[in-house]
Amino acid sequence: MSQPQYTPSLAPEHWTSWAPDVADAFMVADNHNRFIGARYAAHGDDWIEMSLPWREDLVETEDGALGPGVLIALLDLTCSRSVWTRLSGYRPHATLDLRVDHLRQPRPRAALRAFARCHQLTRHLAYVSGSAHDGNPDDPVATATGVFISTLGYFE
Amino acid sequence: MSGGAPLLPDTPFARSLGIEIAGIEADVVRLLMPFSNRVTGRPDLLHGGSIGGLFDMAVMANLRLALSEASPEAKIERVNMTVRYLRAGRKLLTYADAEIIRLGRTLATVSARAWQEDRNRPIATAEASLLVLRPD
Repeated sequence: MSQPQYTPSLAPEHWTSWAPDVADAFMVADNHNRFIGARYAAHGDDWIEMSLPWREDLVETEDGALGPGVLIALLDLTCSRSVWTRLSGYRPHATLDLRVDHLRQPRPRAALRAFARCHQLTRHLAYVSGSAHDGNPDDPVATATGVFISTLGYFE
Repeated sequence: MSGGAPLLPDTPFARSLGIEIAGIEADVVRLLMPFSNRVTGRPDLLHGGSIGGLFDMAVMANLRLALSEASPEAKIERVNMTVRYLRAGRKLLTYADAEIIRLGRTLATVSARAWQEDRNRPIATAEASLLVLRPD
């Protein structure tokens, strides 16, 4: 994994200097994102992909599959990051609502991969759609739709 | 409790987040999730994603309880869940419970709420649809 050249901070002067692939460095804090082990995989203008390796302590089924709890967390995180990707910068915001459609259970011991695209951005609201799979993007385990809110405003 | 799965299966993920049954009153299962680094989002605030996991377990526990008498061997399949975030969760214990809005022959609709100090001021709510597959 490549090392970022700087450590992003939450200070407002850094809000526009983020790049999606170095935002993982932001997750130096010992928090939920760090705990579940999600990491940056790829991005485009308005979308991002995150990966989540399989781990024994995240398992919720008898046959050793991930989710659904960690799947929801991964989708929430990926959707949130897609907004920052579209903004090319960080903005504090909160999930307003998030809907997850469970298409099928992930396979035992499979890693998860989530994709999210911020398809609409207004001053205070960001609209995102995403999905997650366990190896084959044409056979997703879940889809997601989320709305995020920034009371400060995503832009001037 | 007759046959079927435990209300809250002892999964690694539940153990990782410290999620447990807080109590069962009037046929409602209440879960708790302690505050820890593992469920933190921004400093000293609860991470929204961890509330999603708590909701899923609360929904399932209450649905299992509702099915335990008439259909203890029923299989439950998740269809979807929508979480609405209302207030920031703080550095406190989080509770969640759920209400069966409708339990039909094959479809269940369950509404859940999560709170910290006051159940009347929830930090989030969720609504879930699930399929109930009864062997009989």
